[in-house]
Amino acid sequence: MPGSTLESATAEDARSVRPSGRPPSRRGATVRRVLSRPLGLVGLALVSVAAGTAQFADRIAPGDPFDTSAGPSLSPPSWDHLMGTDNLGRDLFTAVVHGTRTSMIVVLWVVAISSAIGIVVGSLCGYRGGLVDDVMMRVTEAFQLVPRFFLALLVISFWGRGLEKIILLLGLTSWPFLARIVRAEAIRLRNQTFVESARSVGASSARILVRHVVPNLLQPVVVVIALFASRVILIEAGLAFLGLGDPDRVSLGFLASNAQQFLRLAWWMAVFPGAAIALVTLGLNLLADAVNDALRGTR
Amino acid sequence: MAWSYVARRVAQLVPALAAILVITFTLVHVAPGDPVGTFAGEYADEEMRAAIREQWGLDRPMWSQLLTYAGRLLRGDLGDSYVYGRPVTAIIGERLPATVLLAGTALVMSLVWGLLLGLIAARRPSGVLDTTVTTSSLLVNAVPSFFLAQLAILLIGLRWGVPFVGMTDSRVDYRGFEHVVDVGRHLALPAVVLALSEVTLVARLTRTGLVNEMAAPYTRTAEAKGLAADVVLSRHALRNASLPLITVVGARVGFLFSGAVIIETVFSWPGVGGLLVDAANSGDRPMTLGLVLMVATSVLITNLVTDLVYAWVDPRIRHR
Repeated sequence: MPGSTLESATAEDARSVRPSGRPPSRRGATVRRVLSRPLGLVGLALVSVAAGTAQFADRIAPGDPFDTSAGPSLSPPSWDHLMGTDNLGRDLFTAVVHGTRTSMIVVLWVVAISSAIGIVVGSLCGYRGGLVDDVMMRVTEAFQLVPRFFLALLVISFWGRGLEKIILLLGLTSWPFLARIVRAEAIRLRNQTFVESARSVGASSARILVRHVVPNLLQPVVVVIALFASRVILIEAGLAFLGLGDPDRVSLGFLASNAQQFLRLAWWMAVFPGAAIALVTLGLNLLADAVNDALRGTR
Repeated sequence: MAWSYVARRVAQLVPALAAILVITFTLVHVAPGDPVGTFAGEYADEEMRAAIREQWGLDRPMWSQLLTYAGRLLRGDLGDSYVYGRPVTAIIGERLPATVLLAGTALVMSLVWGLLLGLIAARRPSGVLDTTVTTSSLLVNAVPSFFLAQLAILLIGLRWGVPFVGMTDSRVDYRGFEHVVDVGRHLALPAVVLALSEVTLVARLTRTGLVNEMAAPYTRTAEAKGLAADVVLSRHALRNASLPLITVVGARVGFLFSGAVIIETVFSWPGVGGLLVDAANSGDRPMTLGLVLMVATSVLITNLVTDLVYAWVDPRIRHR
């Protein structure tokens, strides 16, 4: 670690010693640090715009994304059609807005499922160790044998398409990777003084886990979750691009695959959906980087 | 190298391969839907369906089908494709060279460029070049591979006349050296696009590794002896910094395959990627299963080779 970071961290620690003896909020400091970085701000803005678009999709683009009478086919971007229209005369702006919503729904659910399992399994294994740990770690290794993308391809092509299948599949196969990181954090925390003191006053294992271990490992795990979320967006888009998405919902990957045969005629059909995916992913990556930098300052 | 270490690692392959086989086979076979429909069509009567079921062994219990499949697999037989009606191994064999050419070229390109960019970036950390490399790697990592491919077609393929469909020019029948040149021209765009995301990864790892090594005492000693900075960087630091690269390259083979599936689709490259997408979309069980098994096996074997190479290079590992 460079000297300057170390110095500023100690200086800040010295400043923040309060008379009451209550430790300062680490979370508040982290948020301030993230916001003080320009790239962190850009990341936060991009992610917020994506989340807002997903939440208010029906108000931002009230039309039906499948409506083929929205305009003339293959018309370039104009005031009537901000992102142009596709080969069937569907409005591309509406499609991109609703496609972003689909991406965000998938990400939200996949992250929720895999973090829930990953945090529970990882913290238990890391804190308790022993046989449970050994068995669970072998299980996580087994999951990593078949690349996730191919597993998804296999399952979706034989079990049928559908958003809930993609969500379940990605959610249930992605937790091992998170669990391993949570486990490493839990092992680090297990031997720290505050956990030991909780143990010495007779707190139960369950209480120590829930009140002391898990809250302290959440911050570093957030970084991994943000990076993981950007991977999920790319995997979902990739599956949809190969024709394995949910046929009843607009998705950005499907829009891009539809653009493939019109590349010569309509650049906008490829550029806007692709750029939308890239911006959301970039936002998540920037945010993760900024949080990571901010956390390194607090340690 | 200690042979017991090699033997132990090779022995670990067996249960792993068995686990993959059981998991993928079960996933495909307990799936809803009748595979008979794939080749009988919807107008087949019950008698014909039963005949097909018997012919393909679909009327037997799953465990018996799994045992048959595993037995044939040991003899290198992956069954016949429902769609092509020919052995899966033969069809994969026809398509595999194209994928290996594409992925191999991309791997070599990403290593060469990644190492070069990493070296350039590490010469002056936080300098202009370093910032450029770091920022562009952030950007490239955020862009989905199919979009990179489409951008390449829009900005380079269509403008500069670089071919972007297929592996050869179908209008002219080139022979000998001209054929090689033709394939090379078709290979350029897909290989560069596939390599791009790996380049940024290799560059970042090389850079981080080099910056760390340059802070180590032995590099200071080398500098104190009066060696030029570039010599210290490329002769001393790079050797140690490239150790983690071995692991990463090994681990990326699976990603290269999945990247190749998408890139092959965009550029109509006649490799196994397109084959897999077609098989998945048409419900061709033996073909899909065979391809996924092939990918999983090659990932396992690359992991094994990576571990062995690593142990050979770094003695601390094999003595653990």
